[in-house]
Amino acid sequence: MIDKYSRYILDSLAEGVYVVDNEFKLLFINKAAERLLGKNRNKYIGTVCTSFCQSEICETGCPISKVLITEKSVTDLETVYKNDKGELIPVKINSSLLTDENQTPIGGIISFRDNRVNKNLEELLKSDSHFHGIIGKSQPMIDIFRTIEEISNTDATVLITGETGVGKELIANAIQGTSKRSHQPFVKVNCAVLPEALLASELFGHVKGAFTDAVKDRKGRFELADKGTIFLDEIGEMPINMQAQLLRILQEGTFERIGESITKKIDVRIIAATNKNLEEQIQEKKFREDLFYRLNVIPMKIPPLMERGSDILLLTEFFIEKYARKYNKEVKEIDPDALEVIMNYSWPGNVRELENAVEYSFIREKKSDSLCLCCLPPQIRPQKKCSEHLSLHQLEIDDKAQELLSLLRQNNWNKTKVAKLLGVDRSTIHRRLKSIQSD
Amino acid sequence: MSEMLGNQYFLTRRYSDACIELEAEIHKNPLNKSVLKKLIICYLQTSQLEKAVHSFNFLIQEDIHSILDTDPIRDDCPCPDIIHKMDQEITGYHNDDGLIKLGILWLYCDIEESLNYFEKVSPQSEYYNLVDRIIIKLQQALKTLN
Repeated sequence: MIDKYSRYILDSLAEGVYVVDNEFKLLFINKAAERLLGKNRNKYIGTVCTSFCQSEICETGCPISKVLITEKSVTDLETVYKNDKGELIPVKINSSLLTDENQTPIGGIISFRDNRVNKNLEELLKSDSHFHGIIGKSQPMIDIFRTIEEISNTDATVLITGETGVGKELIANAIQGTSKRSHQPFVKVNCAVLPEALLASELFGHVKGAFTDAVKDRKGRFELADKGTIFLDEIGEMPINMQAQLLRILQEGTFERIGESITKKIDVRIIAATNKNLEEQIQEKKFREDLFYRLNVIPMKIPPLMERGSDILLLTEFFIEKYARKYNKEVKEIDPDALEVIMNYSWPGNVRELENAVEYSFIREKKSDSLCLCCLPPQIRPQKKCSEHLSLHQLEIDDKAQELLSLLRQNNWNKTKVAKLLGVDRSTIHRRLKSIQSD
Repeated sequence: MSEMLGNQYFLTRRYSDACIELEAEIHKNPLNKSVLKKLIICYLQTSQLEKAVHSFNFLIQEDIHSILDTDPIRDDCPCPDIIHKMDQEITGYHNDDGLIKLGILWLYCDIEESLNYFEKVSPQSEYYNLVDRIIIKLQQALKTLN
């Protein structure tokens, strides 16, 4: 059934592959499958495939029988196989049917890959140091997690404050996710990105003809969030005129669409966030005091990363695992001197800056198993201490690379936009990126 | 839907489902021995003894080795388990139907045991004539094997 060359091809794959006949007896097992499960393939050829994979799904939902029933291939099905030591190995499997010229099923093929890396990440996210996707076990974070749990049964308005990059949106997600409104709409609005006129339309909606571009009626974000939650990010940037309308929603739960006199009533929980000091904004008459008190029912101040010392290591480990997966690299740890720099840096850009630094290091990493000091972004590492001493020219290249990567990140990796900003061709950006990676 | 799906149901011991798929295959190809040998077990496990005895007799007259060659481990044959369960049910085979059922199941594991059970079936059994023919076939096969 499988000729010599097909065997060579299948044996050269990194994924485990096995082929069964129409009685589910194993016809072929490739080398990767043998290695992944630690089982001698010769022992299993001719036996029923359940003896080889020993998976729970053999009984409950054999992937090949799924294909037989649905006539659709199975992809990325998560399950566990048992290796020769009896250990359960998380795997992701794909399955297809083999048919003859009359489309009669004559067998099946299953490919699988080790899913332990993904599972580790998931387990990390489920562990004690993680709360709804937020990583932290420092005391200030534990206090925040506790508060979130305490308010989960209420509809209280929450005001999240903290420096840029501390993860205010993640906190908002956790508040919504643990609330009784978790299955209702969750609408997010960044108050800083839209001009005043557009923001009003975005929040409250408009009717056809309300203004030049209002060609049809449109619901606003508050209406869309009815019965659910709205997250108003960067509330400190909200124009003072609109703050009065927001206050009315908070007090009465009512508003009107732009261009319409009908008053609508809604039931929305509000979570707001800002990196501004709203008390100072009040002094400067940029923020309404009455709105502040309405929003500040449950205040949540997220500490900057430098005040969460024990979380820096945890976050670094998390990002290493995340980017090892993203860039398909074997990096598992960070060199001690690089870690020392990370632990002692002030992180003005907080968690976001730390994540960017780890990603940058992955792009620059030269060793296969760990991140070294010289891979860290130049503004973080003390250049003279770099264990792999870089030349002046190399450091100059480093700085340029850092600038380029930073611009790309700010612009969501839109190379055309960054090329315009730098006044160069798009191809130049590609070339520079390539050279950064090859460095 | 297909023989292969029937085989899968059989492997997962879903005998009623397997019966439907394998019977459909037998209608298309009555001489498909590998399907027939599974179908016999499905009939036994779904209380269709008459169909089981007739199919069993047909298959052993055609090719008794298709059953004798069964490897309980490689083929993941359910017969040893079924027999074990029947042994635990004290009253399970104290009648002719139970003896016939055990006789059929034992042929997948051991011809002498199988013959032993068939020989215990009383002449009052409605399948006695068929059993008689089965016994003759088994005795012939046993002689050849010895």
